[in-house]
Amino acid sequence: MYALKLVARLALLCSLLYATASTAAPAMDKPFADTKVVLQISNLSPAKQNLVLNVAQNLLNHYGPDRVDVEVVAFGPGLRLLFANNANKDRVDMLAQNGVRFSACGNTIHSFTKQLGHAPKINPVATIVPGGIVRIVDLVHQGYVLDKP
Amino acid sequence: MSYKLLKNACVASCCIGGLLGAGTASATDWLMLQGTEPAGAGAPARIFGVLQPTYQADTSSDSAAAIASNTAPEPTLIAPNFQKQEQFQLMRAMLGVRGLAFPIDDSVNYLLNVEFGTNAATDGGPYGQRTPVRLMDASVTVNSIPGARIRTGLFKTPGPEELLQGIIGMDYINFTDVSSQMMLERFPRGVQTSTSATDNHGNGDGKVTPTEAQWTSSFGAARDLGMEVFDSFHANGWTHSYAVMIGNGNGLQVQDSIADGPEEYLYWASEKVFSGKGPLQQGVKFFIWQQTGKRRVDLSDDNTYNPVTHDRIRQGIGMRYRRGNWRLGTEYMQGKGMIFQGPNKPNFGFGTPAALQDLDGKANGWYVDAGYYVPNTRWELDARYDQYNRSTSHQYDTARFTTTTLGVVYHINARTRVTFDYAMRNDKALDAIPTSGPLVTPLTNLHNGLASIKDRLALQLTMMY
Repeated sequence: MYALKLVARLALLCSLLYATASTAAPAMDKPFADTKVVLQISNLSPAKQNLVLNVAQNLLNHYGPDRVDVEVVAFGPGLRLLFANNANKDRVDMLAQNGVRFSACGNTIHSFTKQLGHAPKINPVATIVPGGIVRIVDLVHQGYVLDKP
Repeated sequence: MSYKLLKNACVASCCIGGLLGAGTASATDWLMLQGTEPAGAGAPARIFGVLQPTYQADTSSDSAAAIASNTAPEPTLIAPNFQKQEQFQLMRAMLGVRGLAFPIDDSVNYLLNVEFGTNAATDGGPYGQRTPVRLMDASVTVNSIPGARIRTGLFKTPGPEELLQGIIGMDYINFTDVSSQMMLERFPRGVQTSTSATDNHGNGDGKVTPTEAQWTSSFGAARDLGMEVFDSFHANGWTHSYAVMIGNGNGLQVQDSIADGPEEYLYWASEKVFSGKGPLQQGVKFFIWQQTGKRRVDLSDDNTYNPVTHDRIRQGIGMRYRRGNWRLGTEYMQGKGMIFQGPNKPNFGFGTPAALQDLDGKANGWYVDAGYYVPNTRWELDARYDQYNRSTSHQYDTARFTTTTLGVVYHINARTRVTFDYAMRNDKALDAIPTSGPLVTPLTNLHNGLASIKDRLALQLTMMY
């Protein structure tokens, strides 16, 4: 009986660990970050792209790359920021090198694929997540501050 | 520099461009800035435009009677009306929209632009009528083929930097004489030269000495209706761009064509970019271009349709440098055939008698430009020297236009500037006047007319949105 309870508790622990891992571990590569921000871009406007990248850069400048954890989540028309040929690709790559994470919405990619007739090429620095809005909710639950520039 | 040599160089450059065109670059040149939208960052519809209220005053000593009778030299009067020596005008009032046909797809973009201002595009001059609105650009670019974007419609043709560049890059109020006289083509309206029932060319064919009533159409505005293959790409730290285009050779006109066969355009530019991006990026750029076409002109005013086809060739080479607070630029251009002439009347060959016609004549010109942005201020200082040599191979018509322009620009903000230019002009006819015969009077008029051209000042507010 005791052995069964031990196995059950072990299975529960494993499932919790799996659940945590599947929703990403944002602070794992920023162990000293005490400020966590998720930036949403879902707008078609090219100016919004610049604004989001500016905000990400300003956060790094203010807190320091090691003290702030920034993730940009792109979905809807805002996914264009993470197209492989985006005009702002150099800035995206530079921010990624400084620890900013970029997440591309899988649902939007699926929708774009149907509209375009082919899958859009996504910047390799971006991680494809199942749903952009789900990713934001998860990060907020983990204590991230949501900002929509 | 021979025409063949320059043409071969241009062709070779474009061939190399086609071969290397695999890796496309971002918008770093006028071809890309005007013909494409930023990848992944274009808008479905972006409004843009420019307003340019302008004041100009010419110091040439024209008599009131000469102005009233339209016999004053045109360079002494304010374009496009050529009726006053001092005038306020709205030189440009453009409204445009550009963007992506389908916002999530960069493969197709468009540009539409109309002109409401008073210039040679909307105003036919002293003999023509004003067109309230003129379509200046209406083009669609298909970006589906790597290394070979296709732009079709009405748009700026590949050519000299001074004309190809956007308003934001124009540091002076008026163009150089070589660009204004040799590059910006004038089109006479159709001339009915035959009463024959079989003559269906009533809407074409310029005459060598059209009457004033036929010079009513807008100028070419460095634009044409046609199709262009172009692209831009990076190689070894440089950005290279090429364009190959064919067009109607008819400028902004949609009818009354005097062009005979397609106009061909070739263009190549290589630029070492130091920093920045967009129209004011810092770098050094070299470019070469050529435009070739043919024009039908009825040489004889005899009510018989007997046009003769003449070549119209324009080509040039140049350099632009922008780094820190300095800007330097130079271009050399030459032309053969259809050399537009004045100043007494707009004409292709000074006029009658036939000895003064120069339809297959040659011309060339060049300029050197320098600009300095005063550190920590909003002031920019400019200086330009330009020279245009017209009808260089003619026995009687050769003329030289020399202008030194000093300019001061105050940048109110990134999109608004005030420009003051003072142009010191020294124009003269170079060939001797015969002592007797029918050429004495027209050549004396030519010499006196050019000698009467004096300085001009201009003040302009430019607001881009």
